[in-house]
Amino acid sequence: MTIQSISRKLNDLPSSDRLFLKTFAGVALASLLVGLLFGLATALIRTGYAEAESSTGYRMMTAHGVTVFFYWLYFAQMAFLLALAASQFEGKPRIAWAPAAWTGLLAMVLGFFASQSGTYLGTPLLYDGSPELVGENMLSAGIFYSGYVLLAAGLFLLAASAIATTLAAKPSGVKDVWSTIGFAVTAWAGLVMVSSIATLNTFLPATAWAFGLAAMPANHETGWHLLFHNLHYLPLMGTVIIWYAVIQDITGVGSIFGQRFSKIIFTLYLVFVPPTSLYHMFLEPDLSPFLRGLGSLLSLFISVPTIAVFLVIVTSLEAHARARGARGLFGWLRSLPWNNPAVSAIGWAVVNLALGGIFAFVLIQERLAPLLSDTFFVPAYFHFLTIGTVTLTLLAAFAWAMPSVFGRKLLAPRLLTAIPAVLTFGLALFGGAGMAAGLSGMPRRVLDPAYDGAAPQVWTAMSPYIAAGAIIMAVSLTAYVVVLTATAMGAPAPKSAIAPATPRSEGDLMVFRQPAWTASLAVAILVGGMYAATLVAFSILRALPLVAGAATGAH
Amino acid sequence: MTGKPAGPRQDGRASLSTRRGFIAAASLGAVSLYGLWAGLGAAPLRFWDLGGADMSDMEMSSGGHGSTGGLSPEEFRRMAEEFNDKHRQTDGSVSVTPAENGQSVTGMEMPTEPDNAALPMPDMDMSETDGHAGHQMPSVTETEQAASHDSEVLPLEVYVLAQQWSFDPSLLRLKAYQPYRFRMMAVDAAHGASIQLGSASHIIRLPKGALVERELSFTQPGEYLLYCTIYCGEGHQFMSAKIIVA
Repeated sequence: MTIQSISRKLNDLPSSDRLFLKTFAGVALASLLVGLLFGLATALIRTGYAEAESSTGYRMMTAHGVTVFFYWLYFAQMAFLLALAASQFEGKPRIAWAPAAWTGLLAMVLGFFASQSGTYLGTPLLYDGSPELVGENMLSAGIFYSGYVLLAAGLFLLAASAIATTLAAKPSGVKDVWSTIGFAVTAWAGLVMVSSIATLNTFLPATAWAFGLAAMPANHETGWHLLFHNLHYLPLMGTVIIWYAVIQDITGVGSIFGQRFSKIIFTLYLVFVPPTSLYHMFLEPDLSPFLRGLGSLLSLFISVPTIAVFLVIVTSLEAHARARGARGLFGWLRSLPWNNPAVSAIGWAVVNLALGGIFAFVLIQERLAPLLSDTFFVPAYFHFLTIGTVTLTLLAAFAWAMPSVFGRKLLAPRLLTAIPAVLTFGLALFGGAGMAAGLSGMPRRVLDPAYDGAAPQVWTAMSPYIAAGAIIMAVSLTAYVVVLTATAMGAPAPKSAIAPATPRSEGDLMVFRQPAWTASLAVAILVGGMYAATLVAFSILRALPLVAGAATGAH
Repeated sequence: MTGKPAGPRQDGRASLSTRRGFIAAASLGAVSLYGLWAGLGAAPLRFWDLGGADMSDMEMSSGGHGSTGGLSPEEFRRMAEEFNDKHRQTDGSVSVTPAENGQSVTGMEMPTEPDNAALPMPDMDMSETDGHAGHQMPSVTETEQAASHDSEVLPLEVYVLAQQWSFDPSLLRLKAYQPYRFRMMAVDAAHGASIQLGSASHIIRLPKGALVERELSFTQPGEYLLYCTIYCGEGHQFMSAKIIVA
């Protein structure tokens, strides 16, 4: 059948809603550039290629973490949460509760400026903002904490608007089926609301304390672990929902496994994400062995929904391609539209997710936490996820949606198609060198890891590669943003050129009969990589010239 | 998607690869990592054994971060200063070895270089050598018991005080193969007290005001970097000390 595509729906949004999404896009991309600037500065300072006082360096580090992780990722996510929600109307698309959405955006923007101001004016606290480190700078800390409160309030309002939109778009007839994307967006928004409450729960007491209205919060660190856990899995949930929607929109191939199956998979995020936060606390001395073991076990399940979505998308694509005549084990891959910038970026995002996932699953083993936690291994692997996977997916979504929302033709598609490969190369340098240094214990949050020559040589020997990787990442992402910005400011294009109607197929009998093993093979390779990385980590652990015994604390 | 229409397969039923059950099962692929953990002795073979065995640990730890077991930072500081002053050498270092220590070392029988195979796996929790954990992880427990029974050396106490932005002592002299009970506290903010050991490190977190005790034995003489791995302010990168193991 041929139906209106999501991108066509975005083009059909009322001008006021398109203005909202345009504003969101502008704010999101600007925040990415700001975060990249601070990230590059941090990388150059810590690798010795730029000089700065330690207070300045840690301010850069704080601003980088806060800006990229909490503002870029959430500005962009909320933009697509609202855009996908609005696209689910059978008839004319719209954003419900628009005043709440505008207020939410305003709150997030104010939060952004509060976070930046608090960082520049006071003690650099890094993004967890420990009250223990505030010292005399209470006012600036209060401003910094207020940023998180405003961010949380904004997220809550935007998620509420998204849910109101999907509910308004939901067919009301008994036999009507809620669209998979509408359902997934609602689940996504629900988790955003829960996470925003967790953020308020942590930072409202800290704000009240900083402004002299309450005592110092006793459990800031625990609250931080809980909110951070949710907030760092939400982008992954958003990522796979965007893959699902964008790939279907571009290729016309939907899931061959049925809507109910997809809905169950998306629901699994709500089941598995909240209870798996224990692994962040494996090094806390008062966490019992029982809870550490349980945390490791539960963490294994966090991969389930992400792998399931990957299997559904790729198997559906392969089965369709084979039904249309594609041959060879991997020959069907040639039938995908790799010259589409969004498809290219999502393809590389999958590669980076696999790389990041392999090493993330070393860290969830509680016995390995004393080897790797708090070392540079952590930022080295998570950049594969935050930048290589989530950011690349969000940029893919911008490349896909901006022509529709802005009514412009996408500029320089060949350049945009190539950039993700360059970015991945930079990531490999940064991440590979960073993991090597981290594996030998280089701490993650120091500006000068040389320790006056007392540190292992590898900590400083990796610096050129870490710096080179950071530069390549920053330049390639900046180039992507520049092209998107130029697209937004380009000449208007006719509707047929920017949002074609897509024939959609969700599978017929011939499709189901096709052998489609590529996705399963990829998962087998991924799991094999996890086994290998775990074995290597345990072998290093066992070779250490130290026998560690009873770990007790808080008594 | 594009592609030449060229005779799709028309024989048979749905492929296994396009069945929901297969996709659901394949999605659990990474969960199989638990089997490897169990094989390595890092998790109980039957994961349902996680429950129950360590309830006593849960109760012990219910005090959370705020609990100090009766030791305030000021009291710990006083104890650490007294201990370190007693063992301070002329070069300012603190030396804690059986010969100089004066601590009670019953049944002391200093081991010569033990066979590494008989040593517990680094980072294994010796507190799990009791009967509870023994049933869960026999491979780990056996090696731990071998080490603790063969050596018959009781741990000597070592005090490490962490504060912005230094450790006291800044130079610690220890003996190889001697078990030490490190008693550590971060007195002003959370810190790390991690030890760089050559190919990798042993990472330790110290929440503010909590007494953290850890039994450690160095199995190789050398100089080791003790450093903070929790961001603790602008001087974080200067917070380090040295451990010399003879």
